[in-house]
Amino acid sequence: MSNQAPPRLKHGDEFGPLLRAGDLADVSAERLASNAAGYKALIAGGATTALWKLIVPLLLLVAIAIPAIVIGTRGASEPMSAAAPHEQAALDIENAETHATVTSREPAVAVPEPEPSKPTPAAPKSAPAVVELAQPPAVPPPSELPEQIRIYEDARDAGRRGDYAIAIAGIDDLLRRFPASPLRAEAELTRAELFARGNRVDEAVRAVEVLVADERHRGRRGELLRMLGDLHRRSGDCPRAVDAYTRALAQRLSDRDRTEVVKGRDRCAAK
Amino acid sequence: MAGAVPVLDIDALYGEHAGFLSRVLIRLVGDGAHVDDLVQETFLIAHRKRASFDGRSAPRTWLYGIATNLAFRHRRTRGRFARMLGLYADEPTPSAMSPDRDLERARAAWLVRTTLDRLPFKQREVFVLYELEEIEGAQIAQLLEIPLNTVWTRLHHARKRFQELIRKHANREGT
Repeated sequence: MSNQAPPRLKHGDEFGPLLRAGDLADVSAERLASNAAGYKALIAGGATTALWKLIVPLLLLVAIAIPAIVIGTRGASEPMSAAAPHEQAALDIENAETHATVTSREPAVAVPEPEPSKPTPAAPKSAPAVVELAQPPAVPPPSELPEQIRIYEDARDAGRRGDYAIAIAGIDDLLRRFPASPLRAEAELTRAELFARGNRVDEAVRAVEVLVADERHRGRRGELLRMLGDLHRRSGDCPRAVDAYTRALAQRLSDRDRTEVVKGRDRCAAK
Repeated sequence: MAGAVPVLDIDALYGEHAGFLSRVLIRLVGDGAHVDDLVQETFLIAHRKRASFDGRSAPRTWLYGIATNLAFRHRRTRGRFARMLGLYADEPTPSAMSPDRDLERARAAWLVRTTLDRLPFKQREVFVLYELEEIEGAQIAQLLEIPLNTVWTRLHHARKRFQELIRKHANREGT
Protein backbone atom coordinates (compact mmCIF):
# COMPACT_ATOMS: atom_id res chain seq x y z
CA MET A 1 0.00 0.00 0.00
CA SER A 2 1.48 3.34 -0.96
CA ASN A 3 1.56 6.33 1.32
CA GLN A 4 -0.54 8.28 -1.16
CA ALA A 5 -3.80 9.33 0.47
CA PRO A 6 -6.75 7.90 -1.45
CA PRO A 7 -9.53 10.26 -2.49
CA ARG A 8 -12.25 10.29 0.12
CA LEU A 9 -15.38 8.26 -0.57
CA LYS A 10 -17.34 11.25 0.70
CA HIS A 11 -16.30 13.22 -2.38
CA GLY A 12 -16.85 10.40 -4.88
CA ASP A 13 -19.92 9.75 -7.01
CA GLU A 14 -20.86 6.32 -5.74
CA PHE A 15 -20.75 6.72 -1.96
CA GLY A 16 -20.49 10.50 -1.62
CA PRO A 17 -24.21 11.26 -1.61
CA LEU A 18 -24.84 8.58 1.02
CA LEU A 19 -21.98 9.65 3.30
CA ARG A 20 -22.82 13.33 2.98
CA ALA A 21 -26.52 12.79 3.57
CA GLY A 22 -25.91 10.46 6.48
CA ASP A 23 -23.30 12.62 8.17
CA LEU A 24 -23.83 13.77 11.70
CA ALA A 25 -24.86 17.23 12.67
CA ASP A 26 -22.57 18.84 15.22
CA VAL A 27 -23.17 17.93 18.83
CA SER A 28 -25.46 20.56 20.32
CA ALA A 29 -24.04 23.29 22.53
CA GLU A 30 -26.54 22.33 25.26
CA ARG A 31 -25.25 18.80 25.28
CA LEU A 32 -21.64 19.92 25.48
CA ALA A 33 -22.48 22.29 28.32
CA SER A 34 -24.33 19.53 30.16
CA ASN A 35 -21.33 17.21 29.81
CA ALA A 36 -18.99 19.94 31.02
CA ALA A 37 -21.13 20.29 34.13
CA GLY A 38 -21.14 16.50 34.43
CA TYR A 39 -17.38 16.00 34.46
CA LYS A 40 -16.88 18.90 36.83
CA ALA A 41 -19.36 17.32 39.22
CA LEU A 42 -17.46 14.03 38.90
CA ILE A 43 -14.20 15.80 39.68
CA ALA A 44 -15.76 17.45 42.73
CA GLY A 45 -17.06 14.06 43.85
CA GLY A 46 -13.64 12.56 43.20
CA ALA A 47 -11.98 15.19 45.40
CA THR A 48 -14.19 14.15 48.28
CA THR A 49 -13.27 10.53 47.63
CA ALA A 50 -9.57 11.41 47.60
CA LEU A 51 -9.95 13.10 50.99
CA TRP A 52 -11.58 10.00 52.38
CA LYS A 53 -8.73 7.93 51.01
CA LEU A 54 -6.44 9.89 53.31
CA ILE A 55 -8.74 9.92 56.31
CA VAL A 56 -9.78 6.26 56.34
CA PRO A 57 -6.25 4.79 56.76
CA LEU A 58 -5.57 7.30 59.54
CA LEU A 59 -8.75 6.25 61.32
CA LEU A 60 -7.80 2.61 60.89
CA LEU A 61 -4.36 3.22 62.35
CA VAL A 62 -5.90 5.01 65.32
CA ALA A 63 -8.41 2.20 65.78
CA ILE A 64 -5.56 -0.34 65.88
CA ALA A 65 -3.18 1.75 67.97
CA ILE A 66 -5.57 2.73 70.80
CA PRO A 67 -6.49 -0.83 71.87
CA ALA A 68 -2.81 -1.79 71.60
CA ILE A 69 -1.79 1.06 73.90
CA VAL A 70 -4.57 0.22 76.34
CA ILE A 71 -3.54 -3.44 76.43
CA GLY A 72 0.09 -2.45 76.76
CA THR A 73 -0.67 -0.26 79.74
CA ARG A 74 -2.79 -2.95 81.33
CA GLY A 75 -0.11 -5.56 80.70
CA ALA A 76 2.47 -3.44 82.51
CA SER A 77 0.32 -2.73 85.56
CA GLU A 78 -1.71 -5.85 86.19
CA PRO A 79 -1.46 -9.58 85.54
CA MET A 80 -3.02 -10.96 82.42
CA SER A 81 -6.44 -12.49 82.62
CA ALA A 82 -6.88 -16.14 81.73
CA ALA A 83 -8.01 -15.35 78.20
CA ALA A 84 -5.30 -12.81 77.55
CA PRO A 85 -2.42 -14.91 76.10
CA HIS A 86 -4.12 -16.06 72.93
CA GLU A 87 -5.77 -12.68 72.38
CA GLN A 88 -2.37 -11.12 72.84
CA ALA A 89 -0.78 -13.54 70.41
CA ALA A 90 -3.37 -12.72 67.79
CA LEU A 91 -2.87 -9.03 68.43
CA ASP A 92 0.86 -9.43 68.02
CA ILE A 93 0.40 -11.07 64.65
CA GLU A 94 -2.07 -8.42 63.60
CA ASN A 95 0.23 -5.64 64.67
CA ALA A 96 3.26 -7.25 63.14
CA GLU A 97 1.44 -7.46 59.80
CA THR A 98 0.18 -3.92 60.10
CA HIS A 99 3.58 -2.58 60.91
CA ALA A 100 5.23 -4.60 58.21
CA THR A 101 2.98 -3.20 55.55
CA VAL A 102 2.05 0.23 56.81
CA THR A 103 4.93 1.53 58.85
CA SER A 104 7.93 0.41 60.81
CA ARG A 105 7.45 -0.80 64.35
CA GLU A 106 7.38 2.17 66.65
CA PRO A 107 8.11 1.99 70.35
CA ALA A 108 5.22 4.33 71.11
CA VAL A 109 2.82 1.45 70.48
CA ALA A 110 3.80 -0.72 73.41
CA VAL A 111 2.79 -4.28 72.71
CA PRO A 112 4.22 -6.61 75.31
CA GLU A 113 5.36 -10.08 74.36
CA PRO A 114 3.28 -12.95 75.71
CA GLU A 115 4.81 -14.30 78.87
CA PRO A 116 5.74 -17.96 78.42
CA SER A 117 6.54 -18.39 82.10
CA LYS A 118 2.93 -17.80 83.11
CA PRO A 119 0.66 -20.82 83.09
CA THR A 120 -1.09 -21.02 79.76
CA PRO A 121 -4.79 -21.64 80.15
CA ALA A 122 -6.09 -25.01 79.11
CA ALA A 123 -8.29 -23.54 76.43
CA PRO A 124 -6.70 -24.81 73.20
CA LYS A 125 -8.57 -22.23 71.17
CA SER A 126 -5.47 -20.08 71.09
CA ALA A 127 -3.60 -22.58 68.94
CA PRO A 128 -5.86 -22.70 65.88
CA ALA A 129 -5.72 -18.92 65.46
CA VAL A 130 -1.96 -19.13 65.03
CA VAL A 131 -1.89 -22.46 63.19
CA GLU A 132 -4.45 -21.28 60.64
CA LEU A 133 -2.37 -18.24 59.86
CA ALA A 134 0.76 -20.34 59.55
CA GLN A 135 -0.80 -22.72 57.02
CA PRO A 136 -0.23 -22.09 53.33
CA PRO A 137 -3.20 -20.43 51.65
CA ALA A 138 -5.85 -22.85 50.51
CA VAL A 139 -6.06 -23.57 46.78
CA PRO A 140 -8.91 -21.42 45.44
CA PRO A 141 -11.86 -23.33 44.07
CA PRO A 142 -12.00 -23.50 40.27
CA SER A 143 -13.65 -20.46 38.70
CA GLU A 144 -17.31 -20.78 37.77
CA LEU A 145 -17.01 -18.08 35.16
CA PRO A 146 -16.23 -20.43 32.22
CA GLU A 147 -19.43 -22.36 32.99
CA GLN A 148 -21.40 -19.11 33.19
CA ILE A 149 -19.99 -17.95 29.85
CA ARG A 150 -20.79 -21.32 28.29
CA ILE A 151 -24.43 -21.17 29.40
CA TYR A 152 -24.71 -17.58 28.25
CA GLU A 153 -23.16 -18.26 24.85
CA ASP A 154 -25.34 -21.36 24.34
CA ALA A 155 -28.40 -19.26 25.09
CA ARG A 156 -27.31 -16.59 22.64
CA ASP A 157 -26.67 -19.20 19.95
CA ALA A 158 -30.16 -20.60 20.52
CA GLY A 159 -31.56 -17.07 20.21
CA ARG A 160 -29.68 -16.55 16.93
CA ARG A 161 -31.22 -19.77 15.60
CA GLY A 162 -34.67 -18.52 16.58
CA ASP A 163 -35.07 -21.03 19.43
CA TYR A 164 -36.23 -18.33 21.81
CA ALA A 165 -37.78 -20.66 24.40
CA ILE A 166 -34.52 -22.60 24.72
CA ALA A 167 -32.52 -19.38 24.83
CA ILE A 168 -34.69 -17.87 27.56
CA ALA A 169 -34.55 -21.10 29.57
CA GLY A 170 -30.74 -20.95 29.34
CA ILE A 171 -30.63 -17.36 30.57
CA ASP A 172 -33.05 -18.18 33.40
CA ASP A 173 -30.83 -21.11 34.35
CA LEU A 174 -27.77 -18.82 34.42
CA LEU A 175 -29.53 -16.22 36.56
CA ARG A 176 -30.87 -18.84 38.97
CA ARG A 177 -27.64 -20.78 39.41
CA PHE A 178 -25.30 -17.79 39.50
CA PRO A 179 -27.21 -14.88 40.98
CA ALA A 180 -24.00 -12.92 41.57
CA SER A 181 -22.61 -13.57 38.09
CA PRO A 182 -20.69 -10.71 36.48
CA LEU A 183 -22.75 -11.49 33.38
CA ARG A 184 -25.97 -10.78 35.21
CA ALA A 185 -26.70 -7.29 33.85
CA GLU A 186 -25.87 -8.43 30.32
CA ALA A 187 -28.00 -11.58 30.74
CA GLU A 188 -30.98 -9.58 31.97
CA LEU A 189 -30.84 -7.34 28.92
CA THR A 190 -30.54 -10.38 26.68
CA ARG A 191 -33.56 -11.97 28.33
CA ALA A 192 -35.71 -8.92 27.62
CA GLU A 193 -34.41 -8.88 24.05
CA LEU A 194 -35.28 -12.56 23.58
CA PHE A 195 -38.84 -12.03 24.82
CA ALA A 196 -39.24 -9.20 22.36
CA ARG A 197 -37.75 -11.19 19.49
CA GLY A 198 -39.98 -14.13 20.32
CA ASN A 199 -43.05 -11.85 20.16
CA ARG A 200 -43.75 -12.48 23.84
CA VAL A 201 -44.60 -8.83 24.26
CA ASP A 202 -46.20 -9.07 27.72
CA GLU A 203 -43.14 -10.82 29.12
CA ALA A 204 -40.85 -8.38 27.33
CA VAL A 205 -42.77 -5.52 28.96
CA ARG A 206 -42.44 -7.09 32.40
CA ALA A 207 -38.73 -7.75 31.87
CA VAL A 208 -38.07 -4.19 30.74
CA GLU A 209 -40.11 -2.83 33.67
CA VAL A 210 -37.88 -4.77 36.04
CA LEU A 211 -34.79 -3.33 34.35
CA VAL A 212 -36.21 0.19 34.56
CA ALA A 213 -36.64 -0.19 38.31
CA ASP A 214 -33.15 -1.67 38.75
CA GLU A 215 -30.51 0.79 39.90
CA ARG A 216 -27.79 -1.13 38.08
CA HIS A 217 -29.38 -0.06 34.80
CA ARG A 218 -29.90 3.53 35.92
CA GLY A 219 -27.64 4.93 33.22
CA ARG A 220 -29.85 3.37 30.58
CA ARG A 221 -33.18 4.25 32.13
CA GLY A 222 -34.13 6.76 29.44
CA GLU A 223 -33.43 4.26 26.66
CA LEU A 224 -35.24 1.47 28.53
CA LEU A 225 -38.29 3.68 29.01
CA ARG A 226 -38.23 4.50 25.33
CA MET A 227 -38.22 0.77 24.57
CA LEU A 228 -41.03 0.23 27.05
CA GLY A 229 -43.05 2.93 25.32
CA ASP A 230 -42.41 1.31 21.93
CA LEU A 231 -43.51 -2.09 23.26
CA HIS A 232 -46.73 -0.70 24.74
CA ARG A 233 -47.48 1.24 21.57
CA ARG A 234 -46.97 -1.84 19.38
CA SER A 235 -49.32 -3.82 21.61
CA GLY A 236 -51.92 -1.05 21.30
CA ASP A 237 -51.74 0.19 24.88
CA CYS A 238 -51.38 3.89 24.19
CA PRO A 239 -52.01 5.23 27.72
CA ARG A 240 -49.15 3.16 29.12
CA ALA A 241 -46.99 4.00 26.11
CA VAL A 242 -47.54 7.73 26.70
CA ASP A 243 -46.73 7.24 30.37
CA ALA A 244 -43.45 5.47 29.52
CA TYR A 245 -42.52 8.10 26.93
CA THR A 246 -43.26 10.90 29.39
CA ARG A 247 -41.05 9.24 31.98
CA ALA A 248 -38.35 8.76 29.34
CA LEU A 249 -38.40 12.48 28.57
CA ALA A 250 -37.63 13.20 32.21
CA GLN A 251 -34.44 11.14 31.89
CA ARG A 252 -31.20 11.91 30.15
CA LEU A 253 -31.55 11.00 26.46
CA SER A 254 -29.53 11.53 23.34
CA ASP A 255 -30.96 14.02 20.84
CA ARG A 256 -31.93 11.14 18.57
CA ASP A 257 -33.67 9.15 21.30
CA ARG A 258 -35.48 12.25 22.46
CA THR A 259 -36.78 12.86 18.93
CA GLU A 260 -37.98 9.26 18.68
CA VAL A 261 -39.68 9.42 22.07
CA VAL A 262 -41.54 12.61 21.13
CA LYS A 263 -42.59 11.04 17.83
CA GLY A 264 -43.88 7.92 19.58
CA ARG A 265 -45.76 9.95 22.16
CA ASP A 266 -47.31 12.18 19.50
CA ARG A 267 -48.42 9.20 17.46
CA CYS A 268 -50.13 7.71 20.47
CA ALA A 269 -51.71 11.00 21.40
CA ALA A 270 -53.09 11.33 17.87
CA LYS A 271 -54.93 8.00 18.13
CA MET B 1 12.78 25.45 33.71
CA ALA B 2 13.80 24.10 30.33
CA GLY B 3 11.73 21.21 28.99
CA ALA B 4 9.09 21.53 31.69
CA VAL B 5 5.64 20.38 30.65
CA PRO B 6 2.95 22.96 31.37
CA VAL B 7 0.12 21.77 33.58
CA LEU B 8 -2.88 21.02 31.44
CA ASP B 9 -5.94 23.20 31.75
CA ILE B 10 -8.66 20.57 31.49
CA ASP B 11 -11.47 23.10 31.05
CA ALA B 12 -9.62 24.67 28.13
CA LEU B 13 -9.05 21.22 26.62
CA TYR B 14 -12.73 20.48 27.02
CA GLY B 15 -13.66 23.65 25.15
CA GLU B 16 -11.26 22.80 22.36
CA HIS B 17 -11.76 19.06 21.92
CA ALA B 18 -15.06 17.94 23.46
CA GLY B 19 -17.01 18.49 20.24
CA PHE B 20 -14.58 16.41 18.19
CA LEU B 21 -14.41 13.62 20.79
CA SER B 22 -18.20 13.52 21.13
CA ARG B 23 -18.67 13.20 17.37
CA VAL B 24 -16.07 10.46 17.06
CA LEU B 25 -17.50 8.57 20.03
CA ILE B 26 -21.00 8.75 18.53
CA ARG B 27 -19.63 7.31 15.31
CA LEU B 28 -17.68 4.60 17.08
CA VAL B 29 -20.27 3.37 19.58
CA GLY B 30 -23.56 4.88 18.39
CA ASP B 31 -25.40 7.77 19.97
CA GLY B 32 -27.05 7.66 23.37
CA ALA B 33 -26.70 8.70 26.97
CA HIS B 34 -23.64 6.44 27.17
CA VAL B 35 -21.74 8.86 24.91
CA ASP B 36 -22.24 11.59 27.50
CA ASP B 37 -20.95 9.21 30.16
CA LEU B 38 -17.90 8.43 28.04
CA VAL B 39 -17.14 12.10 27.37
CA GLN B 40 -17.46 12.96 31.04
CA GLU B 41 -15.35 10.01 32.09
CA THR B 42 -12.68 10.94 29.54
CA PHE B 43 -12.26 14.38 31.07
CA LEU B 44 -12.47 13.03 34.60
CA ILE B 45 -9.58 10.66 33.82
CA ALA B 46 -7.71 13.48 32.07
CA HIS B 47 -8.11 15.60 35.19
CA ARG B 48 -6.82 12.82 37.42
CA LYS B 49 -3.88 11.98 35.17
CA ARG B 50 -2.98 15.50 34.08
CA ALA B 51 0.12 15.48 36.24
CA SER B 52 1.44 12.43 34.38
CA PHE B 53 0.95 14.01 30.94
CA ASP B 54 4.52 14.19 29.65
CA GLY B 55 3.96 16.30 26.56
CA ARG B 56 5.40 13.70 24.22
CA SER B 57 2.10 13.56 22.35
CA ALA B 58 -0.33 16.36 21.63
CA PRO B 59 -3.08 16.82 24.23
CA ARG B 60 -5.63 15.89 21.58
CA THR B 61 -3.86 12.56 20.96
CA TRP B 62 -3.72 11.92 24.67
CA LEU B 63 -7.43 12.67 25.16
CA TYR B 64 -8.34 10.64 22.10
CA GLY B 65 -6.47 7.65 23.51
CA ILE B 66 -8.39 7.87 26.78
CA ALA B 67 -11.74 8.25 25.00
CA THR B 68 -11.24 5.37 22.58
CA ASN B 69 -10.01 3.05 25.30
CA LEU B 70 -13.22 3.75 27.18
CA ALA B 71 -15.24 3.32 23.98
CA PHE B 72 -13.58 0.01 23.22
CA ARG B 73 -14.41 -1.31 26.69
CA HIS B 74 -17.96 -0.08 26.40
CA ARG B 75 -18.59 -1.48 22.95
CA ARG B 76 -19.68 -5.03 23.73
CA THR B 77 -22.42 -4.19 26.17
CA ARG B 78 -23.60 -1.32 24.05
CA GLY B 79 -23.84 -3.48 20.96
CA ARG B 80 -26.39 -5.66 22.67
CA PHE B 81 -28.44 -2.78 23.98
CA ALA B 82 -28.52 -0.99 20.65
CA ARG B 83 -29.93 -4.11 19.05
CA MET B 84 -32.64 -4.24 21.70
CA LEU B 85 -33.68 -0.67 21.02
CA GLY B 86 -33.63 -1.35 17.31
CA LEU B 87 -36.15 -4.19 17.67
CA TYR B 88 -39.13 -1.95 18.10
CA ALA B 89 -37.72 1.25 16.76
CA ASP B 90 -39.57 2.71 13.85
CA GLU B 91 -38.31 2.91 10.32
CA PRO B 92 -37.19 6.44 9.56
CA THR B 93 -40.28 8.52 8.85
CA PRO B 94 -40.60 11.90 7.12
CA SER B 95 -41.32 15.05 9.06
CA ALA B 96 -44.03 17.49 8.07
CA MET B 97 -41.57 20.25 7.13
CA SER B 98 -39.51 18.68 4.35
CA PRO B 99 -40.65 15.10 4.10
CA ASP B 100 -38.51 13.79 1.25
CA ARG B 101 -35.27 15.35 2.38
CA ASP B 102 -35.71 14.32 6.00
CA LEU B 103 -36.56 10.77 5.11
CA GLU B 104 -33.59 10.50 2.79
CA ARG B 105 -31.25 11.85 5.45
CA ALA B 106 -32.67 9.60 8.15
CA ARG B 107 -32.31 6.52 5.96
CA ALA B 108 -28.78 7.47 4.93
CA ALA B 109 -27.78 8.07 8.55
CA TRP B 110 -29.28 4.74 9.56
CA LEU B 111 -27.48 2.91 6.75
CA VAL B 112 -24.10 4.52 7.49
CA ARG B 113 -24.48 3.84 11.20
CA THR B 114 -25.47 0.19 10.84
CA THR B 115 -22.74 -0.41 8.26
CA LEU B 116 -20.07 1.15 10.47
CA ASP B 117 -21.28 -1.06 13.30
CA ARG B 118 -20.26 -4.06 11.23
CA LEU B 119 -16.65 -3.00 10.78
CA PRO B 120 -14.00 -4.18 13.25
CA PHE B 121 -13.33 -1.46 15.80
CA LYS B 122 -9.85 -0.48 14.61
CA GLN B 123 -10.92 -0.30 10.98
CA ARG B 124 -14.03 1.66 11.92
CA GLU B 125 -11.87 4.10 13.85
CA VAL B 126 -9.66 4.87 10.87
CA PHE B 127 -12.63 5.03 8.50
CA VAL B 128 -14.45 7.50 10.75
CA LEU B 129 -11.41 9.72 11.14
CA TYR B 130 -10.44 9.74 7.47
CA GLU B 131 -13.73 9.53 5.62
CA LEU B 132 -16.10 11.33 7.97
CA GLU B 133 -13.95 13.63 10.08
CA GLU B 134 -11.71 14.24 7.03
CA ILE B 135 -8.49 14.15 9.02
CA GLU B 136 -5.27 13.66 7.09
CA GLY B 137 -3.49 10.31 7.22
CA ALA B 138 -0.41 11.63 9.01
CA GLN B 139 -2.55 13.22 11.69
CA ILE B 140 -4.48 9.98 12.14
CA ALA B 141 -1.21 8.13 12.56
CA GLN B 142 -0.24 10.64 15.23
CA LEU B 143 -3.63 10.46 16.90
CA LEU B 144 -3.67 6.66 17.04
CA GLU B 145 0.08 6.41 17.58
CA ILE B 146 0.47 3.94 14.75
CA PRO B 147 2.65 4.02 11.60
CA LEU B 148 1.21 5.77 8.57
CA ASN B 149 1.29 2.53 6.60
CA THR B 150 -0.93 0.92 9.22
CA VAL B 151 -3.41 3.76 8.75
CA TRP B 152 -3.60 3.08 5.02
CA THR B 153 -3.85 -0.67 5.52
CA ARG B 154 -6.71 -0.34 7.98
CA LEU B 155 -8.40 2.22 5.78
CA HIS B 156 -8.06 -0.05 2.75
CA HIS B 157 -9.77 -2.95 4.55
CA ALA B 158 -12.41 -0.71 6.08
CA ARG B 159 -13.31 0.88 2.75
CA LYS B 160 -13.46 -2.47 1.03
CA ARG B 161 -15.80 -3.86 3.66
CA PHE B 162 -17.90 -0.71 3.79
CA GLN B 163 -18.32 -0.69 0.00
CA GLU B 164 -19.23 -4.38 -0.07
CA LEU B 165 -21.86 -3.95 2.62
CA ILE B 166 -23.42 -0.89 1.02
CA ARG B 167 -23.51 -2.57 -2.38
CA LYS B 168 -25.10 -5.67 -0.90
CA HIS B 169 -27.70 -3.52 0.77
CA ALA B 170 -28.39 -1.68 -2.49
CA ASN B 171 -28.79 -4.99 -4.32
CA ARG B 172 -31.24 -6.25 -1.71
CA GLU B 173 -33.22 -3.05 -1.95
CA GLY B 174 -33.22 -3.26 -5.73
CA THR B 175 -34.62 -6.80 -5.88
